[in-house]
Amino acid sequence: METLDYSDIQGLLIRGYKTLPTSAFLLCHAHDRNLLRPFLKDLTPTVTSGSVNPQTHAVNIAFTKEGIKQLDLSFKNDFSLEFNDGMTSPFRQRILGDYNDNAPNTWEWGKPGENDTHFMLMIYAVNREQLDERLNQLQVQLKNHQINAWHTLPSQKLPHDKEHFGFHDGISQPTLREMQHKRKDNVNNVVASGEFIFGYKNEYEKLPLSPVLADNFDLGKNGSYMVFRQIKQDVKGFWNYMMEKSENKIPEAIQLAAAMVGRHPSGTPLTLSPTEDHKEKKLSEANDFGYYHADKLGLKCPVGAHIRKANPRDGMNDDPEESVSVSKKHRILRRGRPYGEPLAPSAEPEDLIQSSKNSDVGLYFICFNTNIGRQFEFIQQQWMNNKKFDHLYNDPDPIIGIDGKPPVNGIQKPDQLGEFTVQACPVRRKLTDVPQFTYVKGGAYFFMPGINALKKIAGL
Amino acid sequence: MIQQSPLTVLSEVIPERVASLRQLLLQIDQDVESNATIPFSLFPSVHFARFVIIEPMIEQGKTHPTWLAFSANFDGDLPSLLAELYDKAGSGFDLVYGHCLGYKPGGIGAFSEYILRKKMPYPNAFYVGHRGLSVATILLQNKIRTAIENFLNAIPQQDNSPEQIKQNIVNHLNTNYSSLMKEAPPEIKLKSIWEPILIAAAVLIFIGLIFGWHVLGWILLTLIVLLGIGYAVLRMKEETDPQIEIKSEVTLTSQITSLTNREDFTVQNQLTHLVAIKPGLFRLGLLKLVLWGINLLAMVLYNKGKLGNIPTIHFARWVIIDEGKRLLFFSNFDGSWESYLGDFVDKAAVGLTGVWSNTDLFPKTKNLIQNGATDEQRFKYWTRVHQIPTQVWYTAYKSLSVVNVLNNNLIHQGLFKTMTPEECQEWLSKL
Repeated sequence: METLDYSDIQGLLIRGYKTLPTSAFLLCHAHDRNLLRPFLKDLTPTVTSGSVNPQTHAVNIAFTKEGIKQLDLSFKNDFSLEFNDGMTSPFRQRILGDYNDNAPNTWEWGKPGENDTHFMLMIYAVNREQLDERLNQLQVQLKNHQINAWHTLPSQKLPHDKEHFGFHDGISQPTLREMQHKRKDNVNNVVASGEFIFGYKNEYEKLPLSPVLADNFDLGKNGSYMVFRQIKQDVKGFWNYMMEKSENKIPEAIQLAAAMVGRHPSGTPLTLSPTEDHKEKKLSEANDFGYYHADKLGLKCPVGAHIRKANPRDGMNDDPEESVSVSKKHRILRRGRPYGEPLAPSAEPEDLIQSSKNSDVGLYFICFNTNIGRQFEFIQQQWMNNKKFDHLYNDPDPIIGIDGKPPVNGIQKPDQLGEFTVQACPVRRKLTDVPQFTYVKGGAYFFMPGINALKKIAGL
Repeated sequence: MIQQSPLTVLSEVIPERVASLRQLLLQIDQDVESNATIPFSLFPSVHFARFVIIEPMIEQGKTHPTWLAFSANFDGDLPSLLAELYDKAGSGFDLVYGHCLGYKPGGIGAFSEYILRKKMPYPNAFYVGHRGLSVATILLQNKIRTAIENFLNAIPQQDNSPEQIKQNIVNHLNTNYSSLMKEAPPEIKLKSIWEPILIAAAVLIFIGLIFGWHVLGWILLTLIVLLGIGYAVLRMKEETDPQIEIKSEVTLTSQITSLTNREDFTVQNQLTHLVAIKPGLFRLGLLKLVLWGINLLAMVLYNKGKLGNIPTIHFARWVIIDEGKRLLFFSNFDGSWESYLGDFVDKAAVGLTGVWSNTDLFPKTKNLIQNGATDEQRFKYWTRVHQIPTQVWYTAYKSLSVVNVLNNNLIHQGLFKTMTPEECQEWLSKL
């Protein structure tokens, strides 16, 4: 078995920095490309690698294709088509369903043709003071090299790892095959490291295609593609809808929302406990379960539930073994962080429902993969947005699925309301008017290099 | 049982008229269902259809012509199809085929005669995802399912027993949708894998009985020796055959973009793929043999909605063209290209490697069916390199997946059956 070169891998790929709850993501633009290399030279020694578990703060960096262009590198093997094409090309816009309220030309950043972001600095800290201190230091460095951090995306984790709808988030993560000695896991959840980090074998036992410089330097090695999407969450709209469909009864509303998510607010999977939430870790962080034997028809966890669509495990195509093997080819490492003040400090559904506040909140969806087309884009298009997932007819993902269709003869139609089928005995219940609860507000594909590659880029 | 058949027509395009034909096809495709030239939605027996311009192949001193390929998957017999096409869009077909050598507009007679002359033989392999279901049946069954869903949405039935719910559904349809209930669902009889096995056994026994068992023994021995020689030759070739190398060239990027520009507008997608067969009779013979086998399996084994284990293919065919020089592949499938190709690798690599390993620059194989397509990135790259644009593409039921079509049929069949309470419950789970 290969071993991961932790000291050459940026820390965010190895760990989610759970102990560093405060963070800021800086979108940076280099005004003078000649000063970019010197800046990177300065920065590189401070970049956090995977070999340390940072206690106070961490710094990571990732480049857009415009940023790579500034560096004037010549390639033997270029970056992937997806990365070079970008998240907002007409084809990828169609794949991702980004029309109407999600249309890239309405985004706060990452708009087509914007070219303002050359790289992203990702700063994580144990508290506000640490973050500010680190940011202040960086500001000087940036200024000295005429780099403009033109947009800052601040983030603060919510209690109990919740996202803004009030659900425990980020529970299911693949265990990297080369790290399984550190984290015991069901073999169905162990995935080849090459799916997430260049330089290691992927699920097909091949090395993922990596960018290589003209001098044969493997620029991808120990790096990864990072997908970043800013997803605004309409928390009020979400809970209003659940209440409306539940005769304004809070427990019923929460149960309906749980059916759409596939987990209860604390994280307990519906597959293991259909109607009751449990706070103890054994259930609230439970991830060792499948659908085929426990709940083939979706009577416990609906087939179209968010977590079932995002990771179908053994539940597809009436063939559990094949389903697991196929699922493993479409996994991502998630590193998302919430943004904005929660509608209620506890972020518990009961409090969110009763809150009178309404604020701009959402999720910075962040994930890593070595094949954007086969992993992130596939998941978004074939599973989340796809109304035909498994045996369904008209059910996009209720949380982040977008049945967005391009304009026909120049006319952009509004996105259709989704359906959501709750399989049940004797017969299913169907919601036929599920509105959009989330909106894409920005995003881009990034490349996060390994430390050696960063040194190479910086000319060290 | 209704038979779904493939039609493949290859016509030689008049070289000076290629550009004009391209323009015409573009116009048709802009509104494939109801354009003025060939409004495809007027053909009630056509499931899928396409026009493809096939660029000429140049091989040592000989240039093959530019082809216009027309393909359709249709219900019933060919004369009826041709009558239907010409009846509804005769002048349109005259206009299209006016770009081809040897076509003289002269009514249905001239059209039929021309098509029959230019028509390719039955494909080397042909797959149908939903056997025995005509376009009309598929559309009817979808209306029935929609009516049932609307009924359940409007009048919740959670408190009734399964039998009661089913009875309520039947009553509702009989009262409000009697036209949908006039016809009983089609009876579908699928061939069994025992048929070819029994036939083969019968032939062997017949030879043994008539010519003596020693003759049969000699025949089998000869076959085994030939197979052994063939295997040795194959392994030698597999070691030396070149495979494609992945390059990230700008030209390829624009080629891929020209393909992706036309993908993912509806639930379904199409693929047209054209690749040169490796030179020599050995590879051609082997390819024909593999395709023959796949065609047989598609009829007797993979006839319930899955090819290999791929559940998303409506129709697919392989046709050898240009006197054994090139292999053409047409497919109509659900979901994205990435998903379809992923299924190729994950669920049917053996069969597809068996076919395409006999064509140019296919990823390195072993024993005909091993490796090859499992070299995922190389295989997907190879597929894109040989994929060609489809100028006109039509589907008769663009919002339905194969899984939907088959499920609708089960719902329809169930409506007309008496059921036990358990069967009623199982039937309701299809809604």
